[in-house]
Amino acid sequence: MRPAVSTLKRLRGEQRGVTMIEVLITMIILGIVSTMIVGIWISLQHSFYFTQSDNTAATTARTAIDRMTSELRDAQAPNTSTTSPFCLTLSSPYVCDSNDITFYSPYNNPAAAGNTNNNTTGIGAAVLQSIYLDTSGTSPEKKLYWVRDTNGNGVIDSGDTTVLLASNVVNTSSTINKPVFQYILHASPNASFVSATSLSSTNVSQVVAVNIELVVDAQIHKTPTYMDLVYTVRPRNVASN
Amino acid sequence: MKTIRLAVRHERRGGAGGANRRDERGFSLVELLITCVIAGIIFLAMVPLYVNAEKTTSTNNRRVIAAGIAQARIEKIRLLGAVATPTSTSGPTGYAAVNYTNLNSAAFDAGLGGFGQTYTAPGGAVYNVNTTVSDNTPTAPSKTVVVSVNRTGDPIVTSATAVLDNPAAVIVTSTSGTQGVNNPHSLTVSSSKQWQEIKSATVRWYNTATPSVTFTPTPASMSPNAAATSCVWTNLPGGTQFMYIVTVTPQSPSSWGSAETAIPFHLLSNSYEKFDTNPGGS
Repeated sequence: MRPAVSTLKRLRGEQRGVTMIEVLITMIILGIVSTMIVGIWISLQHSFYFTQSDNTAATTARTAIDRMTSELRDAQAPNTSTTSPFCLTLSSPYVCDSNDITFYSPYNNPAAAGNTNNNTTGIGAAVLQSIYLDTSGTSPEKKLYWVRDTNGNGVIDSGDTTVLLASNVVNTSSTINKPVFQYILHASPNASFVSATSLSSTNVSQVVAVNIELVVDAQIHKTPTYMDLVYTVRPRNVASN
Repeated sequence: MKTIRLAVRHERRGGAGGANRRDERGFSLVELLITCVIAGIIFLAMVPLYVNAEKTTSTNNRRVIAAGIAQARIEKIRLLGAVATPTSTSGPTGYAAVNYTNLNSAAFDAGLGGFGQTYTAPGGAVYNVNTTVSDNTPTAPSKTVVVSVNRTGDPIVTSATAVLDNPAAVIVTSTSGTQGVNNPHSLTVSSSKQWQEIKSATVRWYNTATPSVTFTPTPASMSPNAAATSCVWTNLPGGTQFMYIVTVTPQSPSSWGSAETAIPFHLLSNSYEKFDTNPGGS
């Protein structure tokens, strides 16, 4: 080292080095400035992820609600000997209760001619389908699925197409506890409207509308921020009591 | 006071000697500290911007929720609107219940699985729901219903509007024989009002099996006739492959002061025998 320092000194003439105090002060100032910048960076990141997940949750919930209302609005009985668009013959989760709804609907089904179930021809052919919340597992966040009888065998089985409508659905969480589906019943022109959380053979003919409420947690693993969408949809072809 | 020189020092290229060195200037500590303070102030000023961005996102999403609440309430009121005024006097239901007092009562949508006038969302945000009803002119007996929703603390009010027709005014029923292409099927458009309020009614049917559209005009006997209350088509083809669309053109009666023609509305059947009784509904 020494020859090099001497060479430098010789080349640059009288030259002072950097004192310890100068270095320390430099480091402290650098520390303050960089802490500030990193802090801003982190808060920027946080802000970005917050906005992103909030928007994702909002979009997911809206899309799911749109899909459910589209299908339910066009719900109709599968044939002329059946009076209700709702299906009560399958087993859980393909039933009509607070977390699940099972019905026939022709929406977006132009290729139904090949369907071997019941009403077989034309664009109006109704297809069995179910929207259900997968309540398995201990996590409070559940997944909402939509399954259609795509193989046309009249039941919902492993051969049918299942679509994920929404994740992080917290309706069933103990702190939220809101039904996804509620059924509005109207028994006769003079009756009052009442709501039910499940359908049976005794009240299925009285359904005039379905309430949908979807609560999605936008900030999983952080302070919960809920996206809570409600909708009331009236299937066009239910009885008009 | 001794000034500590730091960092950047300039050397003139090609220059030589102590005279040039005297021009050489770095930043003093004071200058640097001032820079830091100013930069800090500027950055600090920007922090609320980010916080605000989060708030805006939240606020916007809360407004989406408010819009959902308003729309859901409108749909429920449409349910009432779709039910004709009942004969019972046990309490107003159906179209008779579509008024300001009823819709703002706490009990209104208890039976509809609703939440009255205040809705507390998960997370604690409180939404206030207010409904107004006014007679729609000139097309009485329609009513204009406006549902306004705002979150407590948010000055923006989200609202949804619907015009409800009295379902008793125009009703479509269908009667038929045995289902089948060659079996006669009949449709009846009837009104509790005099037929003079309906200028014309036509029916079209789509054969969805072998795509075709057939159009039937108003029966000659049903040309505006003050005494008639219904319009009947007989001998239409029956069968599940047919969709029927009845188009009704209302006409205001002379008692309203002018013979305005209202917008036609359609009653669609996409299922055998069943009609959409909520014309104009979304």
